[in-house]
Amino acid sequence: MKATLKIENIGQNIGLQTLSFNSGVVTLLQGRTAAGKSRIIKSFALALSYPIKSEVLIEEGINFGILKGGEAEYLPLVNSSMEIANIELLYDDVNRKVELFRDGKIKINTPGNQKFLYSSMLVKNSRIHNYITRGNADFKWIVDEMSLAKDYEKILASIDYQLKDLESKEEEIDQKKVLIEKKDKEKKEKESEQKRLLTKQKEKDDEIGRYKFDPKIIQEENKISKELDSVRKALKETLDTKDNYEKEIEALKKKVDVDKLIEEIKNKQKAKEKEAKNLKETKVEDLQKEIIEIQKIKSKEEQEKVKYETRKQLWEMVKIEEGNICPLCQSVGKITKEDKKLKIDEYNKYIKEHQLKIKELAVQINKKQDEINKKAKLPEIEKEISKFTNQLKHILLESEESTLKITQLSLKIKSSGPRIKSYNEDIGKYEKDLAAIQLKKQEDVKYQKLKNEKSKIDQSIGSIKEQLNKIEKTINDAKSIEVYNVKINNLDIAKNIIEELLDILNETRNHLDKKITEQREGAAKKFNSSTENLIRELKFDTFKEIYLDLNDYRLKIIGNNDDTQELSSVSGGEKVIISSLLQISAKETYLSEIPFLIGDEIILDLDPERSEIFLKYLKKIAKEKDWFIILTQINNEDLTITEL
Amino acid sequence: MSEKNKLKEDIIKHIDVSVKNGLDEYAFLEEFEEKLKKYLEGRLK
Repeated sequence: MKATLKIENIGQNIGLQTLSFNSGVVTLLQGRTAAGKSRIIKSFALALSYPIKSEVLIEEGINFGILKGGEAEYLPLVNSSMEIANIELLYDDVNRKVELFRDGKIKINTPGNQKFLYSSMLVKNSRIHNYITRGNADFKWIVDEMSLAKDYEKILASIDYQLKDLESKEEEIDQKKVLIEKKDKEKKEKESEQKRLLTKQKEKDDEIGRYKFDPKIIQEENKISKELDSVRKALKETLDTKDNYEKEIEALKKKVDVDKLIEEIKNKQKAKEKEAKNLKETKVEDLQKEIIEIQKIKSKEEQEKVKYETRKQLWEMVKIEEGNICPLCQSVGKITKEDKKLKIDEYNKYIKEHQLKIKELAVQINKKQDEINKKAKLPEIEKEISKFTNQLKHILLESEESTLKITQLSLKIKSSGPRIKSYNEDIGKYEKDLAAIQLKKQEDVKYQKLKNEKSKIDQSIGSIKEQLNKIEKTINDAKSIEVYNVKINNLDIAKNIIEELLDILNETRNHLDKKITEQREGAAKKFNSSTENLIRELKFDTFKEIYLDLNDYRLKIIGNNDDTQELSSVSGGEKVIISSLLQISAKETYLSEIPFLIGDEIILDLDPERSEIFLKYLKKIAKEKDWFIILTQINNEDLTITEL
Repeated sequence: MSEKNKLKEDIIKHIDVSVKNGLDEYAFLEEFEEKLKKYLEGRLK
């Protein structure tokens, strides 16, 4: 059988590269680092395993560098300068095409088998190899991957979920039953309360029936109150107006009683007229002449006065001595002190008399001058007289008007009398009516009280009715349950059906448990059998037995001395052999239909003796099974492909 | 055979076939719940 691998833009290679392989032989890819060995085995891995769904194997794919993941920004197989790469593998009648996109998308024409990754890739970073080299003997995962146990486990998880859901429904039914019981009790209590309130309501209704209060009375009261207010307002306004009129009349009366005032003004006027008449009669020239005459007399008097003053002075200067000469008559004689005094007194008397006359004359002159001056004021006085006349006219006119107005106001006051009387009568009537209504209203208070009490009872009845409705609704809601979107209206029936379903699911669960165990054991047994054959075939003297313990699926290694060896205690080379054995066993057991087995340098890197045994075995199974077994080995040359 | 036993067998068969044909979890669950629902409806008739 021939296989052709066409790769384009894979790894560091740009463009199309076509490689041919033969089955039944071991093909060796040799070359230096980065010669292209890795991209070839990765291309086989991807073409034969994709799509990869298992989480464990996705991780494996990322480790191998065939899937995007981890820190890789782009799909690592696509050449870094290209957007798309292609792999095409043709063998027998199989044609696998893989389109790889830089962003991580992968398109295939026909699915591979993801198990290829852990069973057919004998490489250093394979999961099995990593487990072995790290000394991890827990191989339950490989049993799960090799069998259908995982799928059964998934179903088991779903069944468990359904079981849990149905159990919770059962619990819900029990809770609902408790709730219904509780609510039934509550309902009975409420119904009893409702009955009691209904009786009370009837009693109140009867009591209210005895009060025949006419609600119109309130309207009547409002109407009378309004009218009373209106009449009171009108009365107040009328009384205020009357008061104002009376005050006005009092004020007007003062204007009517003006006789005294007129008399006073007339007297003043007469005095002024008299004064004016005198002034008119007064002649200024005569007065001036009289003033001149008086002034002449006054001058004479002044001269006389001066004469006596001079004489007095002379006498005052006389010394009281013998032989003195009289200052006036020049007679010599004896002048005594008494003489001197008599003379001075005499002169003083004359001086005084003249002084008085002078003063009197000055007064006369002033008087005359005043008269002259007054004459000048005549127009002013005449104006004043005219003013008095006008004043008198005005007062008389005002008096007449006031008299008239008083008459008018008095008439108005008189006319308001009947109105006031009528208002007072109305007020009396309305007040009486209101008092009567008040009496009726007192009865209404009792009526209202009863109505309020009844209203409260009505409210309580309404509230209880509402509560009863709610309780009824709660009970009705509780009486049904929804299972798988089907409403069941009888809780007992629902519980029976749920119990039946629980039985079915529990039995299904048991079946699944059995299946899972079967699958795991079956896989492990096949695996163990294959491994046993392989050990026998390879004739490695290091181990007597390698198998998976069916109790815990841990790897057991039995040495030649029947001793159990710990995985951590075996050498590196032995670990490579164990991991390779396990992978080949897995492949022989579960993936023999894909005739490719890929191995990198790990096998050829074993010690020569083991390497030769292994290679011999691989050549044998390649031939027997017609597999393509492709191994790689590093050297310092360009890539070469050789059949061994 | 009772309806209960019929359902049980039907479910087990359904599980085995689904796993054998490559399990599609969602499709399986849908069909599984439908079977339970049908049984339930049958019981209520």
